[in-house]
Amino acid sequence: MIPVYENVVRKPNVMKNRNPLKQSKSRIISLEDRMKELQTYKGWQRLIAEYRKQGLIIDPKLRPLIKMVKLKFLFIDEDIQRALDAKHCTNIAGIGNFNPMYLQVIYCVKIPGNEEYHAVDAQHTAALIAAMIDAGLFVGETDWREVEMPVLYIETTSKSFARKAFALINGKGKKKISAWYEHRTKVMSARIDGSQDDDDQEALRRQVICETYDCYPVDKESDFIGLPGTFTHMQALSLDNDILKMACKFHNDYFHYDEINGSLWFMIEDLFKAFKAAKIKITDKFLGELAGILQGYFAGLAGFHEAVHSAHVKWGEHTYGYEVSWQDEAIAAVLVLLYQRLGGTQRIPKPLLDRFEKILDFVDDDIKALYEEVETA
Amino acid sequence: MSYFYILKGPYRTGFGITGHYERREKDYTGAWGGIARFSYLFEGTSTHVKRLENIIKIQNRDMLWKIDEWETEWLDNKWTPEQLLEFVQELVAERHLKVTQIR
Repeated sequence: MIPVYENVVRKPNVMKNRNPLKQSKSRIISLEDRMKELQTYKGWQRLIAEYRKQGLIIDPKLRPLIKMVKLKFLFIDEDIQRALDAKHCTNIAGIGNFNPMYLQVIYCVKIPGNEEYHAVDAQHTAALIAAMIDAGLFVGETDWREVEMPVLYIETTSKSFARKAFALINGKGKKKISAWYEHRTKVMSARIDGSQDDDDQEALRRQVICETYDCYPVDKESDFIGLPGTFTHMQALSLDNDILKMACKFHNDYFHYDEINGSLWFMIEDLFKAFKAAKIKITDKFLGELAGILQGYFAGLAGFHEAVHSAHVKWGEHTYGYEVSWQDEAIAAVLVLLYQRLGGTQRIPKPLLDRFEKILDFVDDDIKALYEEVETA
Repeated sequence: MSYFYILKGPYRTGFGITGHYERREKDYTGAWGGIARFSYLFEGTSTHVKRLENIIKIQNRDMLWKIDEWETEWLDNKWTPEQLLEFVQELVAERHLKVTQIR
């Protein structure tokens, strides 16, 4: 018998007020506040204590300087920088794409005593700007050599330093922008700045769908992880709006007290697509029964996800003789197979049932025991 | 079957899950150099027992004793085994977790 879903008392979702994407007004804090925030971090305090213990002090003249430099004084060391990616330059300069306000400062190493600036980053910016000026695209500018661009530079004769600086700027030294931050930028652009850009508006539409059902995308490094309704699986925001809505509603109807497990998105997407293709309606009753199985047998989607992974490994080894790569489709498949095994009467599209036919033989024994008890009774 | 346990440690209240609680008690005894016995014990399927532990460790991680960034399976000083027991009993009832207190 399918376990009956038992209601869990709904508590106000704390994320409603703490949602980092809810603001519609710009919020500005001073650098002093940011500095104080850093100074409260224990790791930072330990680091500064270590500096003091070792008596380390730093020459302020070693900090980089900034200057407007004529483009004719820029050089590129081919043994340091990557080869010119002409396609990349063309894309940046693309009509409708290019915005001169997005141009970045050029990072250089200056040879002491010479007016020579060796670019360690932004060679593409420098090259395309020179070429655009040369093409007469900037009003009133004809000779690119005489046009000045902002350059951030340090003075040294060390090529080794330049090489390391290039690697740092282009690699590990930069904090990578996470998928959540990319989404945040779009949502904030639409909410705070009123951007009508299609991408920004689409991101806002998806954000609103999530928020309507108390679901909240959060960054992988966020303190909010684990709170009810939060999720870090940003691919969810690429789902078709109807699927996203159905997934968020399912979570909010049945598992509002939990964080969102990544399996939700795959499960609902596969069910939605398979039922739609077979022209079968997904009813609330059916979704309630699935929720009963997930709650009663697995204490939610996280436990179910883990159980499916484990069964999939064993099923793959048994079927093919080796461990096969994980297949997300197994999530919906196991759930509907289990549903049928427990006597569920909803018609299920056959493609959902065929692919992992014997997988239920490989779920953990204590889960199997639950439905075998039912079958015996 | 899996087990969720609550124990009174020499310094703090602890918790955890195991498939063999008697063996786990011996592990603590060996580590402490004193007899360890779990104050409270819950039994259930592995998914429900794991979920119970997960709710404490993820959703309520403010409760955990932290050494810098490391979140341990010991609770902050203010928690007694009885307070944790009450918290767990409420969780089990609220969320319909299929675990039963056996000690």
